[in-house]
Amino acid sequence: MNYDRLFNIRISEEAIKLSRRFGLLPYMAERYIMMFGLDEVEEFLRAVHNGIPRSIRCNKLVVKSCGDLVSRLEKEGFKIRQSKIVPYGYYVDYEPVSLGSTVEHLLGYYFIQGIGSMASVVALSPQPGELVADLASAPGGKTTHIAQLMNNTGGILSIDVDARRLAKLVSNIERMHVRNVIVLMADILNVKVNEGSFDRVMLDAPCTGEGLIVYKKERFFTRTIDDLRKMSEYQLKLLLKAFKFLKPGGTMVYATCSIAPEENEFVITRALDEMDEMEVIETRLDGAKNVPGITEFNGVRFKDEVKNCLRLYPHTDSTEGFFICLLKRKE
Amino acid sequence: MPVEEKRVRLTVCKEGKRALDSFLKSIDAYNKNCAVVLCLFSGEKMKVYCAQQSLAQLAMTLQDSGEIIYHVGMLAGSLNNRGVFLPSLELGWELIKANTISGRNVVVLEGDEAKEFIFGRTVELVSEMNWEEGKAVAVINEQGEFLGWGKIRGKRIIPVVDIGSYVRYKD
Repeated sequence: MNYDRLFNIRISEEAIKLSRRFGLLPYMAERYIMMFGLDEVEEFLRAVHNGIPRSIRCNKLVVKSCGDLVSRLEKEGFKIRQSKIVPYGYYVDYEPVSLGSTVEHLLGYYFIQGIGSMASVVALSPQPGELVADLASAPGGKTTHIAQLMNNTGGILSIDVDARRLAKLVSNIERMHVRNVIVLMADILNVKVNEGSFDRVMLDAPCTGEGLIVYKKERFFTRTIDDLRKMSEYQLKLLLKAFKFLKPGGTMVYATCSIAPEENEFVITRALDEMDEMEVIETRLDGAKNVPGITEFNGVRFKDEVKNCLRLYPHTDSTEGFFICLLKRKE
Repeated sequence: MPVEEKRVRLTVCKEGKRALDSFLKSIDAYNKNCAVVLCLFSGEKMKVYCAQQSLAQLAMTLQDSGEIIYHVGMLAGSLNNRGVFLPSLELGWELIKANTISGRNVVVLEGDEAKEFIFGRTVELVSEMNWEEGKAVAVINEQGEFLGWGKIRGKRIIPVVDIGSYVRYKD
């Protein structure tokens, strides 16, 4: 199937007006009109401009009661609000000092992390005693969250290729008191791990970061449509490799901090074309609006199964933009 | 006890175990969560790790298939090229949490003293000192939370490693 059409964006008058009003590139405005429709697109862009507060994950490996941690931080002047999607995730509406400089942070009582990122690990639902792979894992938000849900039992293989990022990953593993991790310095595409040996796999794939525009407004004008095309090719390679790590019956999460269908539903569609053993599991979370995956974009029809994937947006779920899709290797 | 050979391989390591045991003995402590002691050479140091049996086995299998192991289980400390064992923050946290270190080797710092310590600064103590000169001590705050390792010098505590280093050396 020829997918070139997906990357050929025709820019409308409405998109030009929108791009001027909100200060973003016209091709992005056009894509947002396609994603949301004219009624919803402004709601999305307003939410992006308003931004969302930073959030923290309470580390239940060492904190007996997250309520106690919240009280302690509130005494120091922080204003904190619980997430509806992740019960041990909290928005920090006011920071009297930087969240990274508190004693509680240094003690490993919390990790500064987006709620969308946390939600991807909730969707993966790793269980105590399992063997889990976290690919492209630095700086370790998901590895340490997986360890938290496994209560430091079983094993986690955490892989990243970049030595500087690995140092951050290991520092975070130590700070968060995680004990069940092996860290490999490796390129996922060349790693020699035994295929078919993992109960669960997390692939938070490298992406263009289009979901992070709530934090980084410069993302409105720093990427081109060609970046999306190149990234989606790389993401497909990673997904096909990562899926092979799974045992038959095992599950994986393909996630990105991007809302681009080109990096998400399109990648899943192509992977489904190539892998008969792959199926998409319904990805829904308590407390979320549970916006389904997009099945058609810019005139290209994706596989129907992708509607089972989950999209998070700032205007629907008060999170950074995130895509989460649960995949299963058939028995 | 010098580091005998520089190696990049992860190994089950008697030298690391001896150094860890000897350090724990010197501070009247024991660690019950160290099923296997593994060593990994890193720069001028040999890093010493504690791991559960199954995790250690998996790490060795991965290494045998050609992978580079960067970390496994819990970092217990490191051994420098003069054979001196430097305990990790994780080891201190573990010992304080499990209450397996003698109170004679624990110093409690209050308020601003605790803050100074986690900024990596030497702390002048107001209270009387009964500790042995040069001795390694685990430093905790009033809530009993582990802040780092220090060394006694007269009426001062010199930080060896403190939890502030998690953010000071991030990049």
